[in-house]
Amino acid sequence: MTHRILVVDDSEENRLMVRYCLAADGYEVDELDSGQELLDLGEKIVNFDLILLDVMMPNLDGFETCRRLKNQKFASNIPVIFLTAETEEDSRVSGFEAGGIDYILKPFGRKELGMRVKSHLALSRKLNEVNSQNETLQANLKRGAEIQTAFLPSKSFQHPDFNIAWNYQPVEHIAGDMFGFINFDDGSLGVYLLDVCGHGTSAALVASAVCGAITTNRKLMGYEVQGKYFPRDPSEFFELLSEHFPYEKYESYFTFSYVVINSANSSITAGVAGHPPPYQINAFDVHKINVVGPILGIDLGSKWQSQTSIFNENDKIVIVSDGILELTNEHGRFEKYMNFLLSKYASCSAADLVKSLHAQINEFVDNGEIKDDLTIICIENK
Amino acid sequence: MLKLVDSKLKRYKLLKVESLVLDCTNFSEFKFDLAMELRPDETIILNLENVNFVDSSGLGALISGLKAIGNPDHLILCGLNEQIVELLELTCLDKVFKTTKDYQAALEEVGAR
Repeated sequence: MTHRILVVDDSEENRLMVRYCLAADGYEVDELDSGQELLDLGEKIVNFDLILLDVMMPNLDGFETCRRLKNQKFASNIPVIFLTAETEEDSRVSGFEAGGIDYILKPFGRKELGMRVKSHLALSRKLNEVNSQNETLQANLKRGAEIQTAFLPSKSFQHPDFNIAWNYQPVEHIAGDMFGFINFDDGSLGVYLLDVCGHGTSAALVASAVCGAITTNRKLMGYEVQGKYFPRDPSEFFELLSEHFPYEKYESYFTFSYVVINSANSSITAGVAGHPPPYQINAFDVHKINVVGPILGIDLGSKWQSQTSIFNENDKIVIVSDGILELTNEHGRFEKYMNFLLSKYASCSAADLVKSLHAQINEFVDNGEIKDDLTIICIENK
Repeated sequence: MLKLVDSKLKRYKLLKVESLVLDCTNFSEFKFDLAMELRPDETIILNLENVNFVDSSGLGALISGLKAIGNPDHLILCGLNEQIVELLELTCLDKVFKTTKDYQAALEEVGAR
């Protein structure tokens, strides 16, 4: 691969000298005789792999030329080496400040010029490789996220008996949090939130595997009687799921928050596996549903519970991922504000509650770092 | 990130976790460092008094450690703050991990004192 070097110097003699020095190394050398001509090249500059720039030039000196060149985004990666007779340290420092990466003192030897050029070309090549790999990685992650989103409920998902809203915010493109809705033939709606430990690619893959299993193996979440599909009790579902996904399978555990709601008989049955329980908002108060259970995948002998309670018209269920409860700022954990906030939004629509809660989270974090996937789901009994 | 504080060959090892957190940023390092310390039939005492936050990745690393050790009686966690205790209770892992209040109590458990 031939490298193209551009030498910019007002003196023809100097340009010839550089050409002579670099000739043996097989570089293609191009010339310009002023800083202005260099700037006039515009984006064509990216055609060159390295620029050798004389400092002492009339009208526009090397430093000013470099400063203006580097102000343009397309020129940010191209290495600039100054050719200077200036031995003053301050002057050389100005060169670096102007965006140059090295300087060569005149008069320079052929070998020295050759070695410096070679060295900077190698560095530059490595940097470009890394940037390119990074771009590919990001593109892959974005693509992965699109596919993962296909597993999630469509934005237009509806149920005749319930108002449903959610906000899904992975910390990277792909997520360890996933959620879903299952319709049963008795009119029940199953709502689950799955949280795989960690986040990023491996968590997303495990989450997708579990979601995929739940969707395709209908016997996990429900059972069929005379062709109709009924919901299992959460504790039963967790046992089956845990058998299917032991910790050893992916060196990963996951947690679950699951409710089955039925409008006709105003009931909600909730179960959790290692996850904070959902909040229930009814006419009088806001409370966490009193249910607890071990994480999935570890055989603990201890079993899962489920809790059934009344779910009236206008009552709401709010499921949030633990990433939200664990958010911390100088005042403490976000969790301690949940009861208060949900009381405040108790009479909002499901959509408004989710929006407001999300806004509160952003305010709480206030440009701080969000380190986990955040998911909010709200279901309101119409 | 694990400091070897005290040990008795073929009996126990007291390791102090030097990091302030055990989370997605360092769980791999923790897993690796812990794996290096394991010896057959030796009880590992992990002093977490410096650690003020454990997330799901950190918990995963502790579970991996437990699995690597095999016998749950051979791992004792001590110096746990409120957040970690709550996390273990939430996941029902408080029934799985042996814990003591502090490292002195753990040493007593292994008969070191």
